[in-house]
Amino acid sequence: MGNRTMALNKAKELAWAIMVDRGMDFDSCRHKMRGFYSRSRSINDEEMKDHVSRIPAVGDLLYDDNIISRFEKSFAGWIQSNDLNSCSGLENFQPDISQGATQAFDSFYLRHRGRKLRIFAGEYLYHIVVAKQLGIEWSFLDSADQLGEDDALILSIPFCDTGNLDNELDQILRTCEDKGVPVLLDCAYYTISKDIHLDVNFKCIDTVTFSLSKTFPIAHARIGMRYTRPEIQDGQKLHSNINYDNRISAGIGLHFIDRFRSDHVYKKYQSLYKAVTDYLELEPSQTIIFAEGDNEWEQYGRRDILQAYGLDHDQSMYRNRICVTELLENEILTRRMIDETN
Amino acid sequence: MKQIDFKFKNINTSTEKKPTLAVVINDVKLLEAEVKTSMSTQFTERSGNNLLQVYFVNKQDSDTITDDQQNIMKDMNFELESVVIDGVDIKELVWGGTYVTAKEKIDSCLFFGPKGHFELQFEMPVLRWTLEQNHLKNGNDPNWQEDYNNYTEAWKRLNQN
Repeated sequence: MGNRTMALNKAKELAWAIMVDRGMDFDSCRHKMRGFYSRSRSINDEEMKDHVSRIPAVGDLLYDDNIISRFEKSFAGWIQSNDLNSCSGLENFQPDISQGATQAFDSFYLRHRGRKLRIFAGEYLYHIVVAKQLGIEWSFLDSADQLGEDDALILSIPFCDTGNLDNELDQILRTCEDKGVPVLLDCAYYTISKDIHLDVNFKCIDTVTFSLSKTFPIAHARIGMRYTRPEIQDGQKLHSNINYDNRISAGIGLHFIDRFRSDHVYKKYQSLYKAVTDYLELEPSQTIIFAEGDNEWEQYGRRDILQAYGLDHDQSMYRNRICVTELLENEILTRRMIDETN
Repeated sequence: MKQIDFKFKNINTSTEKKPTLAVVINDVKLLEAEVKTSMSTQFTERSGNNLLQVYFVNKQDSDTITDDQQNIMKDMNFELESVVIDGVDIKELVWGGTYVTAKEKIDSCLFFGPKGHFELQFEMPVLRWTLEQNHLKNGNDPNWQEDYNNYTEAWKRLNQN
């Protein structure tokens, strides 16, 4: 049996053990196994989950007139409270709370509806599904050379398909600047990554988004932050202008960013992440929940997600991005099995 | 000991008398009681083949009330809805059972009408048996054995320590 096959078997053993340990029955295990390594969700960290029960009461949040501005002011500082990553130029943008990063995507599609949406192959599948459903013209691109003056670009930083920062980011942004292509930088994974040094001073960047959904186990509260150029006005901004934003989301977000630094997750799990990627012979990425598998890992790549989104794309277009969230959040069992095998 | 759970439905009576059943597994009578919608008992498993029998204990001709043309007007009867063995719902495999009366054997019959008994052969471990049988029947689960092995290995591994 080859080493790679052994690694794959170890991945299966780990997955089944975690599911059985949770008390799941056979059918549930089987069902979950299909997407066990293909998701991209936050780590359900027990310490953080414990904080969910300490979030202020809904009534207190709803009638707190200043909570949105406190959250928006705190967020930029929280992003900068990071020993692993840096983001320069954010002060030139104006913040407004977003229902996850997704609302900011929707706003971007709407503002640039006259342009052709461009994304690199492997980008967040939501863009494709929505573009198809709304009849927005779109296409993949392989390199920045293919960008046209009538395009609008969405790019995840780090990149959704790999968990890594695109080495050609500066070149891409320079091209966008030259051609007047507006850009949305999706930084949903920024706060669970390392070595991301981002300069958002390029004039082409009209939106930068962050999300707490990948950082904290509060994805269903839909908390994100959108940064746009001051001159930009749209429906999302209007909500901000008339103080009509979601105060519950802001309160939950504020509760978490006040307690955990933006590099907390990466630092907390980096040792286990290394143990997991070594054990499964995966290529580590800059994002703590992702690693890359070779061709043998195809069955655990994003096939399941492509199906869930109703996309019939050739899976070979995508890297075998392996999500190790489940292993990280089951640290005791994961370490025990690694130790037993080693 | 393993648990076996039954669900019954459409429990009908023709008089004050209530239907009674007896559960026998591998020739050991485990339970005799009035039919309820949910019933459970425990049994000692045999590795490999096991035989489940559910007897309609107290059915008599007088429980079936007919009109002059012998049309049944009222009857004491019930239906078996589901069987869960050792936590595994055997689902449609329950239809592999036979209802045996003094006169005939009726395949795929879950209706307890005439006096008789329902019987079903099953194998332990029952999860393995259900997966194998479903694949043999439908041919749509080629990975059943690998997944079953993964599941049982995980159980063993977790219970070792």
